Amino acid sequence: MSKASIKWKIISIEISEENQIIPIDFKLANDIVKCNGVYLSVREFINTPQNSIPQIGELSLMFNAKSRHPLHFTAAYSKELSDKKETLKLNCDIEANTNIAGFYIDYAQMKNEARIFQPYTLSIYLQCYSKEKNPTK
Amino acid sequence: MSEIKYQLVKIKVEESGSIIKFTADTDKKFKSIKGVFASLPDTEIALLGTTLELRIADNEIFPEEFEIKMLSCGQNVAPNDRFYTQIDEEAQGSRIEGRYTDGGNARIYPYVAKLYFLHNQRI
Repeated sequence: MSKASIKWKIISIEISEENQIIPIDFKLANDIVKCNGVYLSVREFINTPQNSIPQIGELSLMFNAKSRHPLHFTAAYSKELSDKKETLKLNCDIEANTNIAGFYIDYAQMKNEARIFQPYTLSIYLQCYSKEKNPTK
Repeated sequence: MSEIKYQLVKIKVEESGSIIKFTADTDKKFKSIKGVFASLPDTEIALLGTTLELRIADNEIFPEEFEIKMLSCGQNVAPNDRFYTQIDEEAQGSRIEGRYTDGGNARIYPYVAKLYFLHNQRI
């Protein structure tokens, strides 16, 4: 008997230059069977003139040896952290031994009041499910 | 409706960048852990870059580099809705093991971070 359990996988991307394009190639563990959702998070506090920036870059993710392309979406930044963090739904079944591929393009929006670009780290949280053999649960 | 209990775990953070390992035992009289919520006594900015690696009953709940801001929200969110509830782990005295890494953004050190664990199903 087995039960699926949530496993968070985090892909962190360091953006050091404006308009940078960063390829993504990430190996998922073999026991991952589904990617249920994604959440994008900027790790640092960036002192932008605006409280929030709706589009700081765009992210494209392909699963299952590029046979599935469930996500092409923009990332946002906000100084406000008060909302509850909910993932964007993906509901993508994962084939064993396949990589996640894709890219992130920075939009050169992360600038301080002097309009100088501020490097940042984008964390891509993948809410995955794994199959675990644990009949006691 | 099954009985609920909230267990508070306090983590004292002495200085910027501190890494604190902690353990706690879940309540023996409750069957399961169903949620967790984190709060810091500082501005929201203090959450930035701070991470929490967590295991319950020897199962990974959050991996290394998991940001604690994912487990927190503001006073505008109703108390019952603040919890991360995608946990279903055995309580009954099982071990909670964590590693808290401060992100260096708190205004004042030391401070005490708090984790609230939602138990349910009293035995």
